[in-house]
Amino acid sequence: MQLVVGGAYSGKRKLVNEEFSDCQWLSAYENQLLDQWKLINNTADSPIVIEGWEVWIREEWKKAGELESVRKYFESILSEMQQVEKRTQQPVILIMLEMGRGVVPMDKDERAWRDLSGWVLQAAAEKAETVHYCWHGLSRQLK
Amino acid sequence: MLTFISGGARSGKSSFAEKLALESYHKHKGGNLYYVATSLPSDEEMKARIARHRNDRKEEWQTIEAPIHIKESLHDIQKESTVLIDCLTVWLGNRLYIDQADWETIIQEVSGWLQAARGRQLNLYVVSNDINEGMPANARSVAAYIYMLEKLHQHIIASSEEVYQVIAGLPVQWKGD
Repeated sequence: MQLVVGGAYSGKRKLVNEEFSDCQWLSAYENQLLDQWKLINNTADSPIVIEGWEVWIREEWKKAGELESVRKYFESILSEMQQVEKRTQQPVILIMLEMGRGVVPMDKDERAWRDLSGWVLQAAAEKAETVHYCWHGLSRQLK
Repeated sequence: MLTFISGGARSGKSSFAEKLALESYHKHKGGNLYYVATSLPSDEEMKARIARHRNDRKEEWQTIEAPIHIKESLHDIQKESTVLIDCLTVWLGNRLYIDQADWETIIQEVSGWLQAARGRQLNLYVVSNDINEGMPANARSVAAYIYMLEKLHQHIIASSEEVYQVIAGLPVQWKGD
């Protein structure tokens, strides 16, 4: 599993497109649901890019409303993805948004959203074999 | 020669940029040393801040107040001068909210800086802010501002010989080492 992390508009997709051609994308920005990953990953014949995690995280938080369970939900999906990748041998690339570097939000839901996004990002970075950080269109390998 | 410097709030990016510009000015001794100030002194606190900043810089610096138009100044000054623009974030805010410039005007102005730097052998330093790593913006106008700023960063970085990210006063070099 490979992780690309960076702030908004920092060139994350550009980096993925340069490294991998003909990827299959699962994107929250295209209103796709995370649930679709199993079908896509199990049947893929090309690398898979999964992006828009913060959107799915916010939706899951709205549904469940409990930090620990939402965190576990995403951690278990990441573990499963790792397993499936081993079996199918198709690279899985996760694109995640860095959103933890501003002021602490006043709103409780915003705080939960930000916390969960940070935790899921950490879990992904731990499981990933490579981690790239994008900054203003440039990138650096952190792991 | 073009150098881009960015970092978070109070990361020490301005001090680092001033140090780089001053060192390079002493080394090359061409033209003059200019500080392009982009802030509009909107209230007493801002005025005091600008005055404090100006006092902190040694007398070698000449200050150009340019909250909106910078390109013209870069063409008027002596060739081979060293110029520090501090900062792009404030300047873009001024262009968008004070003179309501469109994207075409903005990107042309910034391209004009880069052309002036190349054509007139200026030693140009541009300072900006990392503001794209916080919570996603709710307001469309804020998201658009961040998007444009990122576009400008990438545009400037593509032409830069050296690029630094400043963290806690320490430079991390992204380009040119």
